[in-house]
Amino acid sequence: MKSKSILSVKNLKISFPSGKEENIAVDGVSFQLRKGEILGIVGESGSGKSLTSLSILGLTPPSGKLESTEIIFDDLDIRTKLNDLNEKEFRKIRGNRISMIFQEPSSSLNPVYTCGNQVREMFTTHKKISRKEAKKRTLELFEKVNLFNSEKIYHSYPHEISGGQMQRVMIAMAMACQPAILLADEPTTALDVTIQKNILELMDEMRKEMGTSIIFISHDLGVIAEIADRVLVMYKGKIVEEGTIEEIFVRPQHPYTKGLLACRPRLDVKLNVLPTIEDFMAENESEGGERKFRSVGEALILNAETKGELIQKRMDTIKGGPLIRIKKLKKYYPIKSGVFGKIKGFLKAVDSVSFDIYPGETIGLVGESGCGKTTLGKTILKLVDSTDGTVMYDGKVINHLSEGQLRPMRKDIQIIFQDPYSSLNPKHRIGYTILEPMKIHGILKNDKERKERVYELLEKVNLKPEHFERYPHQFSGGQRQRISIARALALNPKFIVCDESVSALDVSIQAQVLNLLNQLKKEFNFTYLFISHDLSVIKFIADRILVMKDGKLVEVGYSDALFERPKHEYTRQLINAIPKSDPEDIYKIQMRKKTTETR
Amino acid sequence: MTQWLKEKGLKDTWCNLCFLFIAIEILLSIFIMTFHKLSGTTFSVQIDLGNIGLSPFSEGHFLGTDHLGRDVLKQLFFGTKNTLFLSFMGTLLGSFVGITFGCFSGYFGDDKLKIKAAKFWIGGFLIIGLAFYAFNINTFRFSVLIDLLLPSAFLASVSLLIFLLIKSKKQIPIPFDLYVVRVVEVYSTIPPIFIIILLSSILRPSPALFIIYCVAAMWPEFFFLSRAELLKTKNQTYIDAARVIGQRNIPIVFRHIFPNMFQSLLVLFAFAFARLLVIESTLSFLGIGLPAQYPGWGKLIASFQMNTDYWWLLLFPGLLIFINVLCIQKIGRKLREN
Repeated sequence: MKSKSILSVKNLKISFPSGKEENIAVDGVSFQLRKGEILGIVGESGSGKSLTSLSILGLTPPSGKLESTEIIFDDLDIRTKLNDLNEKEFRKIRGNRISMIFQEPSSSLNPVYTCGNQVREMFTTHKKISRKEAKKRTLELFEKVNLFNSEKIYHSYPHEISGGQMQRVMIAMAMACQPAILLADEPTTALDVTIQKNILELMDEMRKEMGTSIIFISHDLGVIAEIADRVLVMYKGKIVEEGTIEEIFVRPQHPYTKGLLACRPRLDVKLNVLPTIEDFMAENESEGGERKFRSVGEALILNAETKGELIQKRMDTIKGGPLIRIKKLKKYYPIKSGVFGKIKGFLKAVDSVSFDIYPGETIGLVGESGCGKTTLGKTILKLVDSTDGTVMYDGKVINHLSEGQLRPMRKDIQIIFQDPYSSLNPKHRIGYTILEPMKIHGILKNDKERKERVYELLEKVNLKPEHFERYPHQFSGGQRQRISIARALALNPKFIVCDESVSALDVSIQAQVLNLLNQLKKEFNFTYLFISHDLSVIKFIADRILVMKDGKLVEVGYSDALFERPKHEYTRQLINAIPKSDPEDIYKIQMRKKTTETR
Repeated sequence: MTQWLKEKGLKDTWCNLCFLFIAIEILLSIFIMTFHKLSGTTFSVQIDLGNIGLSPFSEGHFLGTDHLGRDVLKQLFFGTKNTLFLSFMGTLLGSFVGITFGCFSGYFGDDKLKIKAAKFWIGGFLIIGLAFYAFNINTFRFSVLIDLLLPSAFLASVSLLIFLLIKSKKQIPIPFDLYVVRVVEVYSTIPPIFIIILLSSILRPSPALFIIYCVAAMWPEFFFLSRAELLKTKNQTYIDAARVIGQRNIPIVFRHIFPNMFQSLLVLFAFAFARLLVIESTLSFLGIGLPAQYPGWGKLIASFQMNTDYWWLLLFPGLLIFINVLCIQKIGRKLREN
């Protein structure tokens, strides 16, 4: 059954003139959206996928130039050419007939108005109904998006509710006027897997109920597979492949698509090295040149780790004593009130956590946001003081030392932070950023030798020596994360905490950084504590896994055992919530979707 | 000059003109100061009762004279020098004091500055004991020896007792930030101009003293802004990163935090400078500021009150205040935009 097309984009071309050059961001994109369909657009950041969706709403940045484009919106039997509309006419369509959900719910809701107020505004501006009536409808809508405590949510401010709830409010806002098209720009990227799953289900429900067409944008093919009917794969501003979910996943044609499919860490096979997109793309650069893999399956088989290797590795690591030993570690935050800060109660961020880390091992620490995993990592590094308990490094208790006593030991324990944008000082050249730790600890004799070493380190993390003089804002997210890694490496540490180090990166870049971390581990025999909310990443990198919930460890185990036989209910929930990337699973999901539709 | 600034990236012509004007003024002031010092001649403003109330453009007195026959142009030169120098130094030193306190307070916060329990109690006791002794030293006086020995023996023995009693090695955090901020909040409710008036009434100011009074009036603003900026920057991940690589507290503040808050402090500096210019003029108009041998814009305007026919005594200094404040504000606004 083919329903009629509701939106057709023809030859969309957006370019940003800068000086004499012209950067083409979107290059001749054409597609059609049918009624009641979910169209996924996948691509890495900078591939032009967000720009495409913004241009549909006429929200392209002022510096961008729209060329030879025809966007036709076929709604309620009226054909409108969107790119010819003026601002006033557009306002009637925005939010009313075409609405949008953004990535970051916390910054797309206005912090000074209550959630109810903001959703009600949608009704009062577009539907011309009384405030009382609008409030009634808003509450109904909140019930519909599974915000059960609707009266309370109506009166709360955005900061008072959780990220998942905020995204639900955003969806309620977007669906308020029953739009014909919903543009969702990475709506679940900032959320935990379990909440992501709920939001995806909710969006699918809304579509069925209201017959809305959805354009779902994501960098993650796994998420797209869960929800979309058709996929567009975008690469460098062009659509390189288009097809149904089954076609894309079972018979990907373009090397880029294959790369995207393969680079996502998998749950079924444990790999030594993650295939990256470059492995597949090599052929494009030089005709007939070598390309590492031809298909997804080949990439997986060639990289898989055998059981024998795994067991041997485990035996080796346990031989020595533990490098880090954590005993009943606690971190309570006092909740203060009044002018002089009287303590009312405690927030238990880390509550009696004990575990050992052996040298050469990678420990994965997994849990939802707010479970205390980042606080635990920071407590080990004494970035926050512990309330009680001990952290032992190499037989010495380190969490009771003063800052001065700890300083010489700082060079052994390093951290790589989550956000590549705020972890580098914007006013320092990156060369200095990497050189500074060596200067503090007096590694190497003089600045000249240190500078040589910085060049070496830059090369080690696949950056160029000429990057030495540049500032952080001149780099992309993945490059910045590599600079952070180089800074950590500068001190030759033994133990590195990776605090969500790859969460802010695209899947394809994530694979590169993960590979780099693994390769460095082999070279220098590092020990990692890898903190992440993404179980599939943890599965790839970790030897042992700790599952954390509400400040407590609920399950500890070797990675394969934990995935095959999860003991705790919460672990099972986490594993089930991960978007699948197996063709069989995807087939199941798609079948289920079709059967529920026909029923 | 403006062309050169344009090439340097400052595109706004008006802003460049303002900048140029202030620069010339400052250079001229410095020139007058050095020339005055070097020549040692009577270049200063002199009372000349033979030439009272000459109007502008008269011979020998380009901008006329006032009711005591003093040359207005000369007074303007010296006045500009005085006012600019005093306000600038006041703001500069005030910003030093404010930023130092602000950084200290913001960086150490409520729990980072720690002290051992024994030290805390002994220190507290010593301060109270010495204060008590200092206040009562006049009332009971036997001989010098007893005066010194008896209290010190008493203090030492009690300190030792405390030291022996408190054995725990536990460190007490001092909520430095909390108390300093409360105190400064109360202090900053007094308007700056009132603080200067109050201090001037206690001790008649010399230029150096006047600068100190200005510092006392201006520093809370810098304290609050630098503390706020520091708290904002302190929570950035790169500060954590600096701590992880083992950087010490003071380099963290100076090398990592300060460059990131410099710009907003510069903006505040410009506006505070302009405000202090006006305050200084107001005070010298009221006759509260510097003594009569130091001319100022305000004093010229004040002498207009003696004879309201001398319009030039109002116009020229008024114009100078107006243009100066405007220029500095313009520069400040430009800094904020960038």
